[in-house]
Amino acid sequence: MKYISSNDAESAKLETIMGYIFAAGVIITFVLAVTSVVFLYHLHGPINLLEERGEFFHQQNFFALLSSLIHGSNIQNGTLLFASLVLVSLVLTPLLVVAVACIYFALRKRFKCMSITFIVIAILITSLALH
Amino acid sequence: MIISVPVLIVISIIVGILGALTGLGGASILVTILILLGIPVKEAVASAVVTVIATSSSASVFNLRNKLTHIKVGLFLEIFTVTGAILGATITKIIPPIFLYFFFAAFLLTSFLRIGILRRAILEKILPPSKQPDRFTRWMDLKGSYIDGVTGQKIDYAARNSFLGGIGMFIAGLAAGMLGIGAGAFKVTVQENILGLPPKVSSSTSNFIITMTALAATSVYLSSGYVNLMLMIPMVIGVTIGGIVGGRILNRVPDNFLRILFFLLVSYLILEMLIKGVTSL
Repeated sequence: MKYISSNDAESAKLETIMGYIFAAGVIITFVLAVTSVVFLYHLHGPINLLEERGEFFHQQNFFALLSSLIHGSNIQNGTLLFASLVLVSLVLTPLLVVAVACIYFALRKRFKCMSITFIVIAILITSLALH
Repeated sequence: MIISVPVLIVISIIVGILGALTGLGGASILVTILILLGIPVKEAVASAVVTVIATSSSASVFNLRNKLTHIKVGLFLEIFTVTGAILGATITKIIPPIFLYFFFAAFLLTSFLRIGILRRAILEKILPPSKQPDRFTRWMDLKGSYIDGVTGQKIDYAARNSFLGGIGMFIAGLAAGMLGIGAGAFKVTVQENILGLPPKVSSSTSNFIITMTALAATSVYLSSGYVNLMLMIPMVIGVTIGGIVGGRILNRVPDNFLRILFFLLVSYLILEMLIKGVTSL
């Protein structure tokens, strides 16, 4: 099934950009997740997930995780490193989509759309920073 | 019982296929399965909500390519769903786990609103559809058009009741954040019946909104200590594969089979959650 047009030509361009960001995010996340599983097997062998206590995310918030990844602290092994990178990739993909939409609307002087997008991104970043 | 990483990946692939076929998404099935396997409910919810970002992101790739997502409507409604999701996830962190079983069962009941007869019988009696957009919606200029690939016709549409729709989406976000699910069926119902968007546009826009809703809920769960990375990673892999496979075989599966599968699956999930809730009392 193919659909040709959407709301307007300008939005169609933004949709294409957003589609590429989502596609890149999905591919990167998938590759990182598979790498993380490979490391898990290499380190622990076949484990029963119901008996193991698991690896829990313990950072203060998302930006603390980013900081620890950049500085290489609190990441004990390859599994945890790649699992953390999966989380970062999952969080950054939609965040980047909204950020790009905000910039796109600003450049095209569509201030109503830009304001809505800015509110969404402000709520998301505040929540990521506060929790 | 032994649940190794490959087993969880296979379970998640099956869940992803079922979620794509029934339109339920993977998370509501995954949360129930994790709980039945003995994973604590808050851990199951927090780990599953992260997988929702993965599945809705991959679905968004196809939806945006089909040019059906109304980005402006999506972004406007996200203000409400994202706020609801943050509040919902915060509530889950605080309340005793037992309430979550009953909330989950109650919210799954709203999935039945996807069945046309029920929707017409319930929603349209409570909320008769208005024909004209209200002043606020006109000011927001929430209209669009698309060319239907099946009929070749250009379909023009304009949203209405955008503020009321926003309240509906806040409730959807609240439930999604609380229960670690996408709440797609509820979101589509709000967009179709309150905002008056065409079904194809509603489904596509709803999926775009789910990505941001799940991100908002994830932001709260990240610091809670409930996100189990060892569960999350195999689920992300499995549900992503399952979602893609399910999306590809969707058109080859007869509609009647899908309706029966949807009815049986939702009924089973509700029953299991109620049993779990009652036995936990």
